[in-house]
Amino acid sequence: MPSLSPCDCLQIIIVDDNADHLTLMQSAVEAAMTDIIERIEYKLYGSASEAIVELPEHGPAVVICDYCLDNLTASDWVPDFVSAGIGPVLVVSASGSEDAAAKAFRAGASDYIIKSVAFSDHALLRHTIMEAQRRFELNQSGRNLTKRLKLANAELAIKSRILKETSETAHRFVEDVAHEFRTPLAVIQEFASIISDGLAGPVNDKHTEFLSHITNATRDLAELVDDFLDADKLRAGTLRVERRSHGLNEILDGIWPLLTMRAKSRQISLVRTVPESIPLVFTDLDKARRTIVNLVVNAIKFSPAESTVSISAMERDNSVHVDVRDHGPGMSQDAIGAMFHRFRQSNNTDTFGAKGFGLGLSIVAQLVKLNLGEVDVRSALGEGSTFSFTLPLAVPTSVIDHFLSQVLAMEQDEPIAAIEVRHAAGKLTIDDLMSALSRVSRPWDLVAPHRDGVGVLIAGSCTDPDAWVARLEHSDALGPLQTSPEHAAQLNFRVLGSWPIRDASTHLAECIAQFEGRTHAEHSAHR
Amino acid sequence: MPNTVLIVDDEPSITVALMTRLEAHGYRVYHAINGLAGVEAAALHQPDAIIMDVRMPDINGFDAFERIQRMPGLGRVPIIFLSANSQDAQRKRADSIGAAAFFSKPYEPAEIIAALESKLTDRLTKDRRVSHV
Repeated sequence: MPSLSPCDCLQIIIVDDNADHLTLMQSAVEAAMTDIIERIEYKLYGSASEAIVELPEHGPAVVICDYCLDNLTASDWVPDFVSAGIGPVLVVSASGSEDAAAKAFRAGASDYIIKSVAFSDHALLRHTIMEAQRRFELNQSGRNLTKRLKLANAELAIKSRILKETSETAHRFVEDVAHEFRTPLAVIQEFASIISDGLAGPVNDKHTEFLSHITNATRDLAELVDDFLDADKLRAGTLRVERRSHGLNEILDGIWPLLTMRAKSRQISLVRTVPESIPLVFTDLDKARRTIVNLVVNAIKFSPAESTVSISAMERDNSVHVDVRDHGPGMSQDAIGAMFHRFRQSNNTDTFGAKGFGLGLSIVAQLVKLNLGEVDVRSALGEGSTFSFTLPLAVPTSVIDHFLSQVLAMEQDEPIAAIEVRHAAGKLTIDDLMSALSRVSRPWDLVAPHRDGVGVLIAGSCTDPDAWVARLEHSDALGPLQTSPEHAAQLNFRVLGSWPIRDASTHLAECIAQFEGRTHAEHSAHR
Repeated sequence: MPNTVLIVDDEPSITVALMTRLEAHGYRVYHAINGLAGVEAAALHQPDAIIMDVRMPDINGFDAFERIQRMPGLGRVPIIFLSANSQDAQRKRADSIGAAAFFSKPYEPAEIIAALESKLTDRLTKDRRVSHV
């Protein structure tokens, strides 16, 4: 037998209340298994209860049992043999009936044979025993594998819980430290201000100047605390995004008093040039404001007293470009290159706080990315710097374009985007896609190495006829989607279009329109 | 008669600083060192406005304010929250229970005075309107 190793002994346990049948069955097995006859051990029992009590502790064994024993049938005692787990159980019967066979199988028997056949057809008996043994071993190894998998899963679950707890402790620590910093900072700032305002007695110009240094340094520290909190959330990927349509002046109005106060304390004038006609942008309001605050505070920090920091915005190439310009010392091309190298790696949050570029600018790069935009710096030594960032216009083609260009900009083996838009009301629309894009906070969540393009798969889910799914997936840059039509069909998707990424935004809109049209046509046809 | 303000903060330095500034602006100031003491002080002094810390050792500022709002004569008292936490969740909670303003520490002293003055003026105008009716 293939499953029997050379040193193993196979135990054949025969149970029958008819003594003649016991002997006949032993002879039949001997004749069927001539090749291993020396390694077979027989145990013969006249009753099931006797056999069950004396079952060996280990296999391999094959139990061959009469259907009717001790005035009971197979369904009463087969489960006891099966649960011993030493080998397969074959049920034999003097007169075969479908009902008896069904009962035997339901009770866990591996096979069912008629005695007269077993006694006469040795080849069939041999095949039945070997096949039962083979299936038993397969089941056993399946069970072992399942057990090992369950164990591995349990270990993973424990490790994951420990990791989660460690990470939560770290976040709580950062939050607590931030909290503990703020109150003393408030005390320093408030008392410096009380003295400076003359509430504690007369002050001279020197006092005022020195106190303003204390106040400015305190504000810088307070902003650093905010930056730490943001950096921690960005690193943990817990910063939520809620993109909507906003006006640039609305964004600026909310932070203007803070910005002018910061500028005034360093004798800087702040100039704002944003035309009323500038189109709406699709952005997360808080993150857009944090971006501007960080850039303006940075500009103020590097500006000489009595100079100007200007904020301007204009529409160009499907985006709104926001510029923050200072008249500080400027940067050399090498410094800009080094900074951008770090910005480009900003998915890799190890660059937070990179020396010389500040935590604030690293956070700007991350926040702009979350807002589906790009950062740029123009600067020359002695001529000041202009930090710019883009925000998508609040129109679908611009938003999708910005989203896809971020996906494209990622390295080949970097995790890449997958978005899913579900709509339960019957039709998928551009609005649904925009709504999904308003919440995608980490478009690089799905790891899929060695792929270099993106296509869009629009599909209807067959399991729920009212739910349609659009799925952004990989494709080869110039080839078809990785998901073949056959694979898509297996996943209950219908492929409506795929294309190279270059013009994906336009195509996506067309594809959705086409999909809506087709759905409509199908509905009409059904009617 | 000067306007009265109750400061509730467990950090004495913040209380002293705020008292100095508010008294210089002509306010009469009471103070309490935790949430429950703040509720008692509010009942006792019936202040025109309250400035309260959010995180305190016994009950937090939000819970303390909700208790104060249920007390006779204090249902519409304006409150300014000061918090060492700049997170949106706290700001939203403050809005939802009807806070007049929310400032995260370190705050700009001038902003607190401005918020206080505007709320007290609002309230005075409303009270006058009510008394005319």
